[in-house]
Amino acid sequence: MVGFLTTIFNWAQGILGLPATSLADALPWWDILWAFIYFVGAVILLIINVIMLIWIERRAAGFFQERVGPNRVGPLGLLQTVNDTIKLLGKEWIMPAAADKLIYLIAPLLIVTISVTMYGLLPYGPGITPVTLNVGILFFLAISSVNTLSVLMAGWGSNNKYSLLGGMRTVAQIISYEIPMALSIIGIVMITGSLDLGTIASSQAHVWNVFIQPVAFVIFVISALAELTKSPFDMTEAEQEFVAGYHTEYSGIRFTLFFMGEYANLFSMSALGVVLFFGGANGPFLPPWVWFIGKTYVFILFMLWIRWTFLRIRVDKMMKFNWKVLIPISLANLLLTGVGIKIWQAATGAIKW
Amino acid sequence: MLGVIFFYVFAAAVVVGAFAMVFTKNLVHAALFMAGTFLMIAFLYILMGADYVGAVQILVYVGAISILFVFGIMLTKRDRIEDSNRFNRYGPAATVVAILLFASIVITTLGAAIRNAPAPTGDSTIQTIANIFLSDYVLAFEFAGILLLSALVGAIVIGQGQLKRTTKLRPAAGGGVQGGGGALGGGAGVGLGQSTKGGDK
Repeated sequence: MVGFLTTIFNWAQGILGLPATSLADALPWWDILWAFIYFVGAVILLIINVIMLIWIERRAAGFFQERVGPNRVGPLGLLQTVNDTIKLLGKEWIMPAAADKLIYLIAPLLIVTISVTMYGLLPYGPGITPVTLNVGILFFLAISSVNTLSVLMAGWGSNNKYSLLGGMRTVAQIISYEIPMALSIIGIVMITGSLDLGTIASSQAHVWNVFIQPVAFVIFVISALAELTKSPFDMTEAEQEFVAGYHTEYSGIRFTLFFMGEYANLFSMSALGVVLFFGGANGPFLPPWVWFIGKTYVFILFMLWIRWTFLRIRVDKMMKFNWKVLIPISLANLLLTGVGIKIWQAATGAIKW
Repeated sequence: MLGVIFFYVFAAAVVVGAFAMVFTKNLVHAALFMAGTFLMIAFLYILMGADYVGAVQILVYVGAISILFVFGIMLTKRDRIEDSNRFNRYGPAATVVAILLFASIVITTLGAAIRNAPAPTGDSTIQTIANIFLSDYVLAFEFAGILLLSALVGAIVIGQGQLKRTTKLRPAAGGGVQGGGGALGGGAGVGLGQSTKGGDK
């Protein structure tokens, strides 16, 4: 992308007969401009994604449950989500009189901010990673853990028993399932020797990590579903138990923001899965970003398949499953990975006994 | 140039957040201000090139400690959330402690040892940190691990003891949730499975 613009710029310089300078020298606010372009790009990607994902989810749900799903507005019902969004934006904003106002208002903004930040860290292909950090994966996990704060703020700010209970449950769930997720990722970091998402993706040019670390992949998918509070772990919006969890008291555009955050996180978590286990943007013939987006959508469909197949499990069983099953397995997997790496290094002669 | 502007923005946010945290009367607001301050400090670290420290700062302080803190507040029994920041009462003592702490930090940071320390070389701060952790400071590193493990085991033992004793739910306080934490049942601690979900037992 940068290379493409530089080419255009140099070509224009040649036509106008200007002395050749680099693009960065010609424009003093070059860094800010790029940051702004990437930011706008991330926001546009987020909005398009959310609209597509909601449509895909509803159609997929229809398919899994042997019904049609929305198919009236536009071709194949594609414009149904646009329609619904406009309807939601036009709805009245209702705020509970006893709400903790500032917290209540900031929570939905925070959730979308975090999503945009996460979009900025993903390697969409060589040369189109908005922010390259050498601690990329760690920063990604760190930012996604701030999500708990916004959920808690929403639950607390609403001043409603059910909202708060939903918020607390979400926080307990997300904090607990962060541990097996991080442990499953450490194995891949040990194999790759880097925390940079781009390096992890490009290191899988020959073999995808899913074949080297199948156990870690299963743990990652389970904990990703729990992190996203998707079924079978959607305890936060268990309608029978508390109305809609932490966003019970939100309406209109604020509810839309929560909805957007949820689907945006579905994309970024699936993209993380693609980077870690399915070789990121690597692929023949097509441009890298097409591979990246395509793989991510396949991964999303896989998650939706799980979501619409399994039933919601009970909250205490969910916790027990995490602490007594997932974490021991992921620790054992980590140990095996360490031993395996050493054996591999000895076999290929990288280390001597 | 740009870095300097951002530095002053974040630094101002840190100072404002810290003061707001100390002076607010509402304990939940104080916790949230603290989380914001930690986040801004993490941005400062990243701005200075210490991206590993910044990421860990967000992961550990913003992601976990603030949440634990908010949990603690919500599970404490208080009648009203206003004036719940009990630390507001210890003004004089807090002033003395804060001044001493600030003075010691200033003296340490203006000291020669830190100012003359060489800046980290190379692109990756992680490799430098890993090399130091696993060579010069390996003993301290392992001791920290053992300390955390013993704390974990201790928490499990204490949590199990409480689980046997308190099986009865406290009656829910009337009115809004912010009226009293009693509605949430008697669970304590977030870390360990069942104890979090005291209300469901």
